[in-house]
Amino acid sequence: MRKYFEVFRFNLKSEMNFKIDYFFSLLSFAVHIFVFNALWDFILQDKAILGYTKAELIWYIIVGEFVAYSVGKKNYLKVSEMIKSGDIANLLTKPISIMKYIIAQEGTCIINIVVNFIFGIVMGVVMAGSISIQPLQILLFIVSLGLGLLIDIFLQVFIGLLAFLTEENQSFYLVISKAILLLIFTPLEFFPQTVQNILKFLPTTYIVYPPGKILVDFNLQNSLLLILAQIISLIGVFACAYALNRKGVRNINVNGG
Amino acid sequence: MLTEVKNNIRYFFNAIKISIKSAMAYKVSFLVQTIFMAINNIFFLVFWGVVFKNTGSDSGITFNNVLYLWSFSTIAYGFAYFFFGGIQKINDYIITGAMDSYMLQPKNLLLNVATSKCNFSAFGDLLYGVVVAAIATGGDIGKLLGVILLGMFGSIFFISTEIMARSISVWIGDTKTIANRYVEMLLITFSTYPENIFKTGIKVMLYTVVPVAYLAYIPANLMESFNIYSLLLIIAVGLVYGTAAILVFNKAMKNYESGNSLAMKN
Repeated sequence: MRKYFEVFRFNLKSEMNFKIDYFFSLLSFAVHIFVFNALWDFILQDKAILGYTKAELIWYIIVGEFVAYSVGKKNYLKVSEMIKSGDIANLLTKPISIMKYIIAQEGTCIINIVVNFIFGIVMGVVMAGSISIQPLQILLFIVSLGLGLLIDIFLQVFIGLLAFLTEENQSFYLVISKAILLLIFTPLEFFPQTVQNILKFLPTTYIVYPPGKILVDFNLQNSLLLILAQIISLIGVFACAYALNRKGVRNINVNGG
Repeated sequence: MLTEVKNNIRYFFNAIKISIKSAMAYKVSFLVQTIFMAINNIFFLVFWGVVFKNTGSDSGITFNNVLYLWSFSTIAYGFAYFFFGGIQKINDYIITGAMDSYMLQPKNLLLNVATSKCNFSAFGDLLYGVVVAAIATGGDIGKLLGVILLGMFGSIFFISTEIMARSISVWIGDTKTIANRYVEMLLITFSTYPENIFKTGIKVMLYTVVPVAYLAYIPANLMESFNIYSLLLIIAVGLVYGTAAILVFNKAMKNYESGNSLAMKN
């Protein structure tokens, strides 16, 4: 485990050199929240829609944007480039597990998570005002947020690993990221029932919808069901990524790196 | 001087031919990127469809207005980055010294650099913009042509912004992050939401410092009620931005210092 911690530490140090990227990332985060605040302010005035007030919608969007900005899109690119450039063959000669190496690299998004979490709270209070939350709600929200982040990370690892099968995997990222984005902008309830029934079977739904829902519209039974759905999604996405990794690595070993 | 203009126009059309040929050389990759970029953009219209389904048009924003905004911004973006993809490389060429290989050629430097690359996925944006424009205009050929031409003219704002933001690398170092974020955060984000939702302070910014109004808002309003003065204003502001970009680029090239690295034009 120590070697993976060193991989994580090394990548974390190198990430810390790009401070200007964090600044612009926060600015971009702020601009998106500002635009949505203006949009819902204009459309809703003081009304509610499907049980959501404007303040609740803004907090919901902040949670969604927090997840999107914390994980970013670099992760799938890192994995993808490693495979396309052949660097992965170098790793195969070393006594490490490719999957654990990738996970150690992905761990560097911890900086984004901490910075965006603090920034998100400040943006929420400034744009939407404070919301009342219970201690149990906070706990379940943090758990759900963590699970959402993990699903997003492993989904990106899966997309990156698709480079084993297809040369062009940016297209998959574009479509999947937009499926996530749809639920960042609008909660699940906004969609027609048929569409909701389809979305409930997609792992992308359980990245941003559960933590946002738990934060703005807390119900213990629903929250526990959503967390259970997230755990199932996480296991499914991880299993797909693991299987794809094993298949890809086996092919490299058979065909030569 | 007229001969030079004719030569540059001829060079531009040859560059377009080469861009299309290079796209066709990698047919599958080109098609996949085009289609998925178009699908990528459709999700935003799905979002607006969901919003209008739940809120109606009482807010004063119409779905057609949103369609026009999207068609203008995506046509402008697609045209700019498919035919002039090299504008995104200006800062790289300056930092790595690869600008030398372009400077040594007997062609207009800016045109040569701008047409040096072709962004395949931008064609998806262009195609998507035309389809959305066809829906917004309800099949009116005259209006559709108007949208396409104004959209193509609107690309001048993307191109000028990229040129200015990346040319200043000569003085302040690599501006890749600044340029990328400026275009994404300001030009693209604001051009796809109706101006009615923004308060006066932001509107002033969008009509002055950030040319979003001339890229999307005024053209969209023109489609709903034509006004010759608005059209002339768009053209005038576009020409001012274009001229400013050329001046900044030329000034930057006067201050450019070669890195003495060996680089080939690719």
